[in-house]
Amino acid sequence: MTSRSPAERARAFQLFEEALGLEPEARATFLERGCAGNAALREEVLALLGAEERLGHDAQEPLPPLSPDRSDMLGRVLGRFRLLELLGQGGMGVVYRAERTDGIDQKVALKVLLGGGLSGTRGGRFAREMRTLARLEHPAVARLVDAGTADDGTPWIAMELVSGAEPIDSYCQARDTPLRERVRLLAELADAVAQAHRMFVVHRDIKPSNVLMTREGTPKLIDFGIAKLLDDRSAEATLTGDAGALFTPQYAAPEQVSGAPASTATDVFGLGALGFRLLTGRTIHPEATSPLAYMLAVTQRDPPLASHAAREQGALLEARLLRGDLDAILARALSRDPPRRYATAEELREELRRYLEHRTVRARPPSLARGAARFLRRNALASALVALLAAALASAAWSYVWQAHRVAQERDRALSASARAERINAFLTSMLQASDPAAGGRRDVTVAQVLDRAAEQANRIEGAEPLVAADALLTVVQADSSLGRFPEALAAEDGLVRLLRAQPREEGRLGTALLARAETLWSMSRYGEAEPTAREAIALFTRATHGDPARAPELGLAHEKLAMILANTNREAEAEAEYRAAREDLRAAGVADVRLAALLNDWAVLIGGQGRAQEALALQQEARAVVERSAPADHPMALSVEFNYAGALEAVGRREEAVAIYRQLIATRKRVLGPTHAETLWAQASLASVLDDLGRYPEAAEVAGPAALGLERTVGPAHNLTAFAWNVLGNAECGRGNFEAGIATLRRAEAARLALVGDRNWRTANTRVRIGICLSLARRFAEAEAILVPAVKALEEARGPSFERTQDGYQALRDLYRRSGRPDDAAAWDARIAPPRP
Amino acid sequence: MSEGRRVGVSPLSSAARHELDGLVRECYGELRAVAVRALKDERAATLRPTALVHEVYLRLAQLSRIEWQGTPHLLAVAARVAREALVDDARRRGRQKRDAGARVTVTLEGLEEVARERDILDVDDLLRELESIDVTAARVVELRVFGGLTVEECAAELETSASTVHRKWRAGRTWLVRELAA
Repeated sequence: MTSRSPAERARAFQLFEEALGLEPEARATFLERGCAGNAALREEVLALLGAEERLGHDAQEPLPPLSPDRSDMLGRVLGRFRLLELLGQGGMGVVYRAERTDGIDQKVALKVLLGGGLSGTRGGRFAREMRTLARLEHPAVARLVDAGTADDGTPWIAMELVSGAEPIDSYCQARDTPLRERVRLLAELADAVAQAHRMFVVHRDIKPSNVLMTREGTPKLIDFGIAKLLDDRSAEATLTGDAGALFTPQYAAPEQVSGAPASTATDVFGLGALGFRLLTGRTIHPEATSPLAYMLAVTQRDPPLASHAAREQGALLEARLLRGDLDAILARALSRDPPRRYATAEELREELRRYLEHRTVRARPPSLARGAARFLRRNALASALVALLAAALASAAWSYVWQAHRVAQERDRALSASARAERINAFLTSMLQASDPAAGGRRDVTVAQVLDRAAEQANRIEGAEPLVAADALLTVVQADSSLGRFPEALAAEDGLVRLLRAQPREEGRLGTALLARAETLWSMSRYGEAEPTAREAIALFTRATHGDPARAPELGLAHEKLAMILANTNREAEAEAEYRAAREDLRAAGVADVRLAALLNDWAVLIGGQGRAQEALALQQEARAVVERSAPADHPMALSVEFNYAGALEAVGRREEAVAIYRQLIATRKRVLGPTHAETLWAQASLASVLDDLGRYPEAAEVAGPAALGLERTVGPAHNLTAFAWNVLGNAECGRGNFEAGIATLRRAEAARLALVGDRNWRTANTRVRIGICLSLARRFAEAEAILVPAVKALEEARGPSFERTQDGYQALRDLYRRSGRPDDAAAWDARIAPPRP
Repeated sequence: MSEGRRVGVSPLSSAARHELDGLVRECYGELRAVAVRALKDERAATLRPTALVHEVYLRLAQLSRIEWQGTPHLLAVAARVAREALVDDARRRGRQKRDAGARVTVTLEGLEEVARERDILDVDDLLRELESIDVTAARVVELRVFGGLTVEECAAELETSASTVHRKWRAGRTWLVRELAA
């Protein structure tokens, strides 16, 4: 055959390859036509096909799924059904839409098991699926219509055709299905699974693609394909051998991935994972992108709280609704240890129903705050909106507001707390009744509308019930600001302030309202109005506490707010005075938690920016001590403090310590926020920067590279953080002698800086100085000079000659001229370099 | 609809791919040296190219600044480097002692049963010829026998479907085995 011409050999190969893509029966005809009487060519192709046959299929790797477009199947009749259209390919076969041939108008989903007769594991599994399905009858399970085998022994089953047939997750996403409705769907599925469990049937593969939604909005659980009959006789045909290979990442339970037998608890986990996806919009371990990574993740880590996951997705409203009961329910369903989950799907269903009906959820012990929430829920209309407001009442944010009322409450004994809660509740109920369809209102009410209505209603009743109206308005304010509805929050605050000004002896509450208003204005960057508001709040609190800060933390918090406003308007000395006052007041009031840490942290950052590194470090150490005593190590505030503490260490030259802190922090952030979160990557870039300063360039490059690429993906290429990371990486590359890579990387940083801050900014100039240094090291002197001279000039203009980066520029020019043999020029620049600071 | 079932293939961003290609250009000499060093360590003259690819892969991963885990492109690059290093090495040995003992033979990944201990230079020549017949088939064979890439990884690297890769692989390896036996 080697005697044949290259063209003939090529032609034979081409025909051979095409023939491989055909069914064996079709090959003869194809070759007749393709070889067009060229017997030698035909022989060669047949020889190749024969060789291929002998070589056999790849034993080491399963073949990719057969092409689903088996158009030759369409029109075929199986049992009472004719195949009409390909619907898709499942784990075990191809699914067609089919119709009855006997004239009865019935369409089914007909699944054909590919790969021949009922032998081997697949056939056995198929038979089990049929038996299982035949026994199941539930509105949320796709019903088995018929089953049989084709003439050639190919088995098939006909199932209820799900109209619409959209997977539940995309269904909910596309329709923006309200969270409560999603919970209801989950409860319905749990009910279906519970029924299956009563028949000793475990589904084992609950996931969004196995739950199809009908057009009418009913979920249908399909594919009890790997269901394992708990029944002993079927259990003999053990599935454990192949169970490991059959799990679906993101939905499989820990015991499944480790090959242990599945139980009803496995389905509880599956329902939990499905619920997590439906309620948060993401899977339980999205960072685990391969089956192996998922195996490790699901067996070694608990999924995050659903509310945290939702917040990370930017679903702030969902996050609020999930916090509390739903968090607890999902966490229990997703316990890694099967005995700690709900024992049955029925229990899970009961919990979901309890949640929907606002009864006590058993997943966690009741607490004081929950008592209030439960009280409100039981008495409120069954509406998620009430749940939102009630959650706001029960949340920590509320308890902060509640504390703010303490001063007023001391004198306000006429109205007990519980009586007031009852009246707030009555108020919310009346407000929601107005939106109830029975009362003639609209059915789909958004949270925004309810809040607007609540604000309106509160203003209406303020004459008769001013204090109830005030409390309701405070609730609205809290909800509005947590939802980022600042203009609405401001309007409610204005109403509240006006209302309270008209009340005698309500200075304390008025102060609280003003403090909230100052915060909202600050969030809107309206510092001019925020300042007098904060000052008035301080004055009111001072009067209400009779000058004794120990009586309320609000005074300290108001000072802090004022400090932040002043810091934002560059009145740094005044800001510092306020921070100092705030610290004293908070300490006096016995506040030693994250609120105090936040204050110290902000203060430290402020003076750190003024170059007062030692003082900043002392404050940061104080903040750290506070956080350590009062919050868990992965509290967001603890992480912020830790990050800034490392920065403060860096600033005083304690770089080795900073490296250790950064490394610890990165590990924590990876765990808490995930490896691709901007804050994680930022910490990595910061670590690399210190390593650069320490001259540990290879290490720095190793850390900075992934950080830069990650930041480019997460926050975009034109972002300060991304530019910072490229800058650090470029430095590291140059430092370890990879000049070309370093220059290329620094050019990326330069491009980002240019896009961000333009040509004349000192950061752009600084990056250019780095490029110049790199060019100079690579002995590309002319280029180095061309970039260094204007960059140093820009630095001088922007920040002055004594600025550290300007000094770096002088040094770069001096070194360049020394290296390129121009000692006079070198001396001129050397003269401008300030002696090192002691 | 089987989300999460995709195995181990995470396509590189074009920026990362560009970065890697640039890196390989820059460090090609060094990578070759790694491969040759790995060859020297091998006492026997029969090699598994995939073991060599492993060495190159590790070095590349070390040099580069991207987390490459699960990216077929890095393996693909390593496969090419390994193939060329093997050929270089065989040629060099051939020049040094012109006798049959200088032959460098390889056992091809996935073809152990049918193509054990083949002369690397023969394999290389035939792959070049296959390249002139069908570039994709030649690439698939190279990636699989030198790099040990899976069908899915090949598909990701060559930006084509798994079924195409699978067909090309069946055709290409049959052709190669048959030619080697000729």
